[in-house]
Amino acid sequence: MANRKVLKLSEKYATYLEELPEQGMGYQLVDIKLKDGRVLLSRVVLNCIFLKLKDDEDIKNDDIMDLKICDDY
Amino acid sequence: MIYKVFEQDANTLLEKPETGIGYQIISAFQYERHIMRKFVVYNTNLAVELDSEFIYHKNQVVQRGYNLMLGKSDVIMLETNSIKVLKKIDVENKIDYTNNLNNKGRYSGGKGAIDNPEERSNGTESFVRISAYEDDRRVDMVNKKLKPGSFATTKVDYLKCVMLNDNPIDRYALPNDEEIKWAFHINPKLGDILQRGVVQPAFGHIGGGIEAYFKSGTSDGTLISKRPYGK
Repeated sequence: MANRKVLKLSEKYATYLEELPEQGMGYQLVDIKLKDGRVLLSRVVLNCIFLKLKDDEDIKNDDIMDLKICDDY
Repeated sequence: MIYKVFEQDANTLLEKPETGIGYQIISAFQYERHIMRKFVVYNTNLAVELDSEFIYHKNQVVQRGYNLMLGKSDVIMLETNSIKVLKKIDVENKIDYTNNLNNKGRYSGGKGAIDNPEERSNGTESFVRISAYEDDRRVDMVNKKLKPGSFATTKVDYLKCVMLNDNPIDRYALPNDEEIKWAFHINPKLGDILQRGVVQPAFGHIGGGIEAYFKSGTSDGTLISKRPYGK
């Protein structure tokens, strides 16, 4: 992966996202609930598996409590 | 696609009003296919399908001549009783096929694919899914098809993007940082459901390409090939 930070999601989430619609060619928008209580809204996942992170984010798969497709789309 | 109208249907069109000088915009079921299709019919005889490839095919008629195209085209038979002549206003809210956003052949107006009505593939139109990933997970390589809920573009729009050296990430308003490297070529089967529209601005990109959304994916065996982008 070039340039930007990404988290390769666990296969559990990738398989879940494969079964759900895209919002555009090659991407989905998801809401993520972290174990520390934070909620990340409308985050881009590419190819059902690569979660785009902000430059200053350091999130691991173990930090994720729940992930679902955005309700708005 | 361009067709020669079956003689009986052409006679029916002669008895119906024009939409404009020398042409009729019609909707009709294809004979024994139960698929509603729309065409611009010139001189009651030459039908150009009103889809995202319309401009391309219309230009073929202009450049190569009405008579030549009439002689070369396959005949299409319609359910005569289903033929309706449409007014321009009936199609004005659709994609503005005459107004390119810029010289890269992009479109303005219209809505995104999921906001447009469902239609059924005519079995001849080709689509392309572009991707940064050779192992694109929306492409079922076992059953050779597009998975449900997936997007693609039309082959015509893809070729425009390539040949006009447009930026696919901007044209299709993608959130990618990676280069688009792959093109999955798909020929949906007759009756596969899709919705088509104009890519709306997103992620700081203008959009304006054509997108097609396959709510139920495509039938088995519709993935024709995987090729490097632009090849």
